[in-house]
Amino acid sequence: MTSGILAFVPAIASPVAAIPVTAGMILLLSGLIQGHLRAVRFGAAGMYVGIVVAALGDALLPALLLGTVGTVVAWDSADTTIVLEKQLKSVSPDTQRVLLLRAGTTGGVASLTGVMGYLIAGFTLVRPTAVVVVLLGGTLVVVVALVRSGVSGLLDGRNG
Amino acid sequence: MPRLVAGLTTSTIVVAVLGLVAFLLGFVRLQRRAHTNRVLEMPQPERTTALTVPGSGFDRKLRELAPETRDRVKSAAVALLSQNVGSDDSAVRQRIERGTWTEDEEAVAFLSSKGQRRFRGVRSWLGGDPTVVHEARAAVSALSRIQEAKSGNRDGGDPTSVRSRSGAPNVESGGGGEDAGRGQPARLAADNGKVPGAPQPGSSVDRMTGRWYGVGVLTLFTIAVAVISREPDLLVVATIGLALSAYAAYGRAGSAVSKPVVVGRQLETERPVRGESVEVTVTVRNKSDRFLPNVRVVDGVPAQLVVTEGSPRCSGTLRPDGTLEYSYTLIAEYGGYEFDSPVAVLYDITGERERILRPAGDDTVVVCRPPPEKSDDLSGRSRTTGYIGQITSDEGGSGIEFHAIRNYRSGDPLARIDWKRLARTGELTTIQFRQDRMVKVVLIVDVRTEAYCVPGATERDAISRCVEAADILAHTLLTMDNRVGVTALPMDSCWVAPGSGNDHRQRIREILTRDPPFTDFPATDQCIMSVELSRFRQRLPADAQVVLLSPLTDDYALEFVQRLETTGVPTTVISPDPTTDGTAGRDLAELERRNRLVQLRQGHIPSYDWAPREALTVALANVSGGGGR
Repeated sequence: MTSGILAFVPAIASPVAAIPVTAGMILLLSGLIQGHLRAVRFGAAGMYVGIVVAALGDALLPALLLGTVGTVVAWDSADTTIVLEKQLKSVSPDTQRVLLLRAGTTGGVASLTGVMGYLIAGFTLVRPTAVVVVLLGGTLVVVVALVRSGVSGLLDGRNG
Repeated sequence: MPRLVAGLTTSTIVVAVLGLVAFLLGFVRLQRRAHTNRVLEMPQPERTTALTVPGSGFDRKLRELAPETRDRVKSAAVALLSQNVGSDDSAVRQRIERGTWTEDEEAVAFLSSKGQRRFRGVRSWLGGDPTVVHEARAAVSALSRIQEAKSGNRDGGDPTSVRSRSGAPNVESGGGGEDAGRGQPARLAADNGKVPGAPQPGSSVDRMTGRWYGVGVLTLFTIAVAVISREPDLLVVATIGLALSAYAAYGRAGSAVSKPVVVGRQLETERPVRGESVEVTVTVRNKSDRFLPNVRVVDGVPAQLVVTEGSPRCSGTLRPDGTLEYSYTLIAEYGGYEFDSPVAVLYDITGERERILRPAGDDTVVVCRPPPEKSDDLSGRSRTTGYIGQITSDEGGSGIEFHAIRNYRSGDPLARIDWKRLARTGELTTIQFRQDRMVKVVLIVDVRTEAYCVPGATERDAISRCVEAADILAHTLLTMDNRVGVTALPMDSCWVAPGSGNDHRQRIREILTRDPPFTDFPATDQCIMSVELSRFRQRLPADAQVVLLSPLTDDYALEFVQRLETTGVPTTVISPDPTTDGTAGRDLAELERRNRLVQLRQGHIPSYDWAPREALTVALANVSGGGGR
């Protein structure tokens, strides 16, 4: 859950953002303690809203990306922990290995994307909104197409 | 760029439209997802047959603010206060209305005619119990204190009895889904251990969890906010969400391996003694050439066998050809039990794809046919059949237990003359001993649904304890050359007339450990009082007495016994205690059960309160406090 503290980083530049981040963190923690999945989800969403608010303020891009990675990892870990406890009723060293692997993978994907996004944004001299939107829109279409076509042949050799 | 509308550039329009589309997409997906539950419910092998903790239904209704909860507590209060105060019902009800029956204000508030509060307080909205729950608990606690003050020692006067107090936190009492998480009593499964949508043994089922759905929705909202507010940094942030969505798509698009795991099981012993701990070791092996990042296994524990140590569940990662081993402990019960095939669930690295497997079982069976413990302290009601047996009656004669002294009569055996009295006082007297007589007893085991309850997930259920007691009593009485019969409540077709001898003893043993009423419970047939009494009276020998084995969790068993007594059938009750404390409902169930025991004793019906984990001999020996003589 320490990764969730990263969500406070962008709030340093935008104190208004600290409110939803704090509320979201409290809700996520209470959801984790009580075993309420919905509270965890809403808590993480609240923390993310704080990041969006910070972005609309004066927060720097690295802080926003750091906060987003922290929020995603915090949500993923809390969510997985609750589901495991509900299904297994106890946590063993083997279970902890599963949790660490999940958190590490999610954090890795999010961090790598964040770093690449920052580098690309930094190297772009001019960032016309429309161009970026079109790029993102294109990415979205590709993702949806992947899902709907069920391209199992392209991604052969995955775990089951 | 040419202007399409005055004051707006084309790029602005494109951007605004894209933002609106993204916003709407996110909103629609959120609506679709709002009411789905993607968490797979695993089987509850610790107790695979529907089972309740007494009072769990009351707790559920209390949280729903059902008005009948107040009526039930009020009825228990009237019954208790009428017993203790000696007043009639109307006077007791007036005391309750005026609030003079206790000094506890919360208890008074709950039972007052103003009724329960019809709204939930802030505490309730924040996840705590409504105020009415606290008031109900206070009312029941106040009644329990009154009952304790009247009856003395709460454990029935037996210092050796061990009662399980608040030691069963992990028993489910209603509710499900997210409310069944930590800190909440969990629900005992009524699904016979089956996972919804689970495959048959030897096959598998794939499904998608959709756990990254929310990330996709938030990403779309982020894009919408970014384009509307023209904040490019948010678009960069949104790429993280897009990447994770692609990551989830990667998981969904993966292909599964057929039969990737094999689950093996080894028992410490396959023929244990009843009550013996049996360690079960489960081994999960990865037969595929892929790394399995998330494997969850739940073993198919036989119904009615209690897991007392460890857990039949396990989770971990498995390298190719790697193994995962874990163990848990069961308590053996009478009968033969076959393990069900385990449930294995495999997840990919993203957690998006879920594969539910039922590896074919290896037909593991545990059989328990133990010799029973003897009950040397067993004694039935003082009634004989006119035959000589080994139960001492209230008549004097030849025997081994001292009964009385009388004047010497010509012909009395020299060995029975009281020589010490002769030497001391000069009087010639004869010692009389209690005369042994044979009894006819019919043991009735209550196997109704209301009797199928348990104080905790790791405790034995009440019906199993009743069957155990029937086996012990039958063996002991038959060893003493008495005549014993067995039946169930409801009787159905199960009736063994009182008999004697080794063959009869073996027959009763076979029936108690193999026949459906005593192994496949609870009975689902409706149990109508008049019908059951009629059936029973038709078959019961005229000179027989009855021992009812029932947890007394409802008034049916109480009324059944009272009616038998009024028809002249001497009845004794042995009642395993299935109650516990910790909530208003559980406390109330305990209070009501004690009220029933008091009513039986006030009607001069011997009643033995048998605490959990207490030997039957101890319960029967507890005559002064918990017994009914």
